[in-house]
Amino acid sequence: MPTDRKERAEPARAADRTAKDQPAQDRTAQDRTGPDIIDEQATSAPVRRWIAAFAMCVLLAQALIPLRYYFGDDAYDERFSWRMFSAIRMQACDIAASETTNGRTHPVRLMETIHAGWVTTLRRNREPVMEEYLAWRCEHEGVERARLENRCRTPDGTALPTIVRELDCGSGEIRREGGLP
Amino acid sequence: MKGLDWLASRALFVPVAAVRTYLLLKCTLLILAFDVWLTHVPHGGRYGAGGFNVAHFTWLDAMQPSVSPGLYVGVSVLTGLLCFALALAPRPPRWLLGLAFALYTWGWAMSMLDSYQHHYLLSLVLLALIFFPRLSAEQALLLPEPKKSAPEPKKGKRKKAKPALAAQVPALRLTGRAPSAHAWGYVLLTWSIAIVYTYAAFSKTSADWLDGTAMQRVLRLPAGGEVAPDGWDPVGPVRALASMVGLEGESFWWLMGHSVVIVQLVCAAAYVLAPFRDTARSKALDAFMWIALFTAVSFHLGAEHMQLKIGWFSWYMIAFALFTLLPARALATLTRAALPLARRAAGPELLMGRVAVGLLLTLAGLVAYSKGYGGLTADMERFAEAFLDPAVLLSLGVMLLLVTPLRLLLHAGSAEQPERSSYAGLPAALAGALMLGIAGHQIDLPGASIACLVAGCALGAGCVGLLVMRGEARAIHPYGVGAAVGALAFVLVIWQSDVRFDFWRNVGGDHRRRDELVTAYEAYVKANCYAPEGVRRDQEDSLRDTLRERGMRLPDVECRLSSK
Repeated sequence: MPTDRKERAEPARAADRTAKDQPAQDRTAQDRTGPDIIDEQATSAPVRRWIAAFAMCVLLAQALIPLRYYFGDDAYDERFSWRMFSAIRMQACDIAASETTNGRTHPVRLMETIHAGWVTTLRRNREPVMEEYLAWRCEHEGVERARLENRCRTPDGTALPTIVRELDCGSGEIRREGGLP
Repeated sequence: MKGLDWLASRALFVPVAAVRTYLLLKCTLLILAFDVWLTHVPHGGRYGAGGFNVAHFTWLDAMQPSVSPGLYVGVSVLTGLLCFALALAPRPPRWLLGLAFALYTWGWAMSMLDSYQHHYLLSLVLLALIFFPRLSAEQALLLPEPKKSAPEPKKGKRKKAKPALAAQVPALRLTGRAPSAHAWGYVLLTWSIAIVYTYAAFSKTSADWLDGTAMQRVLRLPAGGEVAPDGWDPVGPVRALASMVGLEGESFWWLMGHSVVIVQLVCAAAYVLAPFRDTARSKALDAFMWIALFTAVSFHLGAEHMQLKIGWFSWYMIAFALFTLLPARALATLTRAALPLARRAAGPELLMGRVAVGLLLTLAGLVAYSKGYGGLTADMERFAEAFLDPAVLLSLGVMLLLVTPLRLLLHAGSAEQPERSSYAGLPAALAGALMLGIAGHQIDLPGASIACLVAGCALGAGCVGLLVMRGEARAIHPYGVGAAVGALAFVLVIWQSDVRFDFWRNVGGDHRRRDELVTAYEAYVKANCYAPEGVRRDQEDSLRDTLRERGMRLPDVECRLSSK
């Protein structure tokens, strides 16, 4: 952290530097914002290089992270990809849950089991949430098998293949149908 | 190496008008404080409900404590208080900005219930703000005074005459030049926003966006995009303009679909070029920046007009566009007019103007708050409700009225006044802790009291740390003032808004669905305590009857600060 004394001295030095070192055209450009440049993060060339490397890494990460959606295998996970109001988000889905206990399968009322916000997230086919939900249900006593079924329609009304996720609580094996390409 | 040197000299360390970095830092933090209090907290009841939660990242699930409404509200309240104090502090240290980034990011990342993409964007913004230059308003707005060589002392005259006050404090020049700063954090911010716009444009190159059908769906219009004669048309003004040049029906929607992509690409290009706005001598760039500013502002105002329910996203983007794309001189002039500056004497007309505009906005806000916009035509009413929120008018007015005394208070006893006592920061810290304690107690939300306690303890720890390490605690002064004013602002906005009503009715609804009737009843009683006038939840009565029928004891429920 630069000291106050250093900060006070730096603008003048920086201004001198720019005035001497820069070509005439740049100097006139400089005049538009004033000759007094505050170089608060007083920086030598090696430090500037480190800063440039860090900034490059941050920007590169930001540029690459959204590509994970376009090159990934989960069409429903649009997080961090800047796909606001996409056709995927506009799909209308109807989720149903069921469980097998003592060999008998019965439906689960999701709205009475988890918060309505999670039901919306399940409707959006968020894979980690679906898997976590199934695993969570398996932790409940007597549950042998937990299943989610999501029926979706595209915004123009076309029905899509039903998406099924079913977890065998004993073996931990998950069955996936639909959803992932 | 050469590439990095080139990047540093040609882009990252290009001088930028310091006023841009100052406004971006302060305004983002201030808006964020109110944003988390008003739009995050009402949803706090769903966190951890029923014992189920999935974080955005698996490693976070493994690390974080059990998610609950108290944890989420606590983190949100603390984030808001910290952002508020940092917005007021003259030169906040980077580690505190880093803490604000960490707290805010944890707030949305702790659960996939929060999937707003702009919350992720704001984390990126906060990350960039950590590396902004640490400038006071005076450093950002006033050129350093030229150093005068001391006059030779005259023989025989030992006693120096005290200079007149007017000679000591030069007059403020509103339109003077503003200093520049090397601000690579600013470049990081503008380029991050450019990446967001680029991807947003790319995602809208799908066929359904280009032919306009996706936009019709977003606007909840029927297929074909036509509106019933008596219905509200969200794109009415644009449709009217387009029909004047013969663009109607499919061709109109084709234009709308394509224009979204073009608009976002223009914005992306503007943010890439924004760091060079103050140094490049190019009329073409100047013209492009004006076009981009108009494009960005109209695009985001349009989104608000269309009522897309995207939180405060549009307002952040409008603020970013104004602070990065407007000419520096205009920004500096406006900021100097609004903000009292130390070491510069503002003329009485400026002070009067500030007070007059403040009073006007406050009065307009009060009238709109009490009377609403009911007397206007339907279109005007919709416009006024979207763009002239009474609370915003009121807040802007009050801020203009309070900015002078507040800045005087912030400067008194701060670290920049070395003649003050070493303990000068302690009264402010004490007042801050006291206000936080009152706020935490009065705001009836789980986690709020703990958050205020943590903030108060942090102030105390700051005092002790400063006294031990530096032998004086003057530096804590602005944070004490910030905490006290922040706590007051927090209580006021929560008390006067529907935050607690929304929070408790959501909690009540969730517990009722899961047949947890006693908890649901408690939540509905609280919701009705904090309900806006004329809005009451009947569930309280029906649950009371049900509990009595089942022979269950009705719990005592206590409300605080309930009357509006």
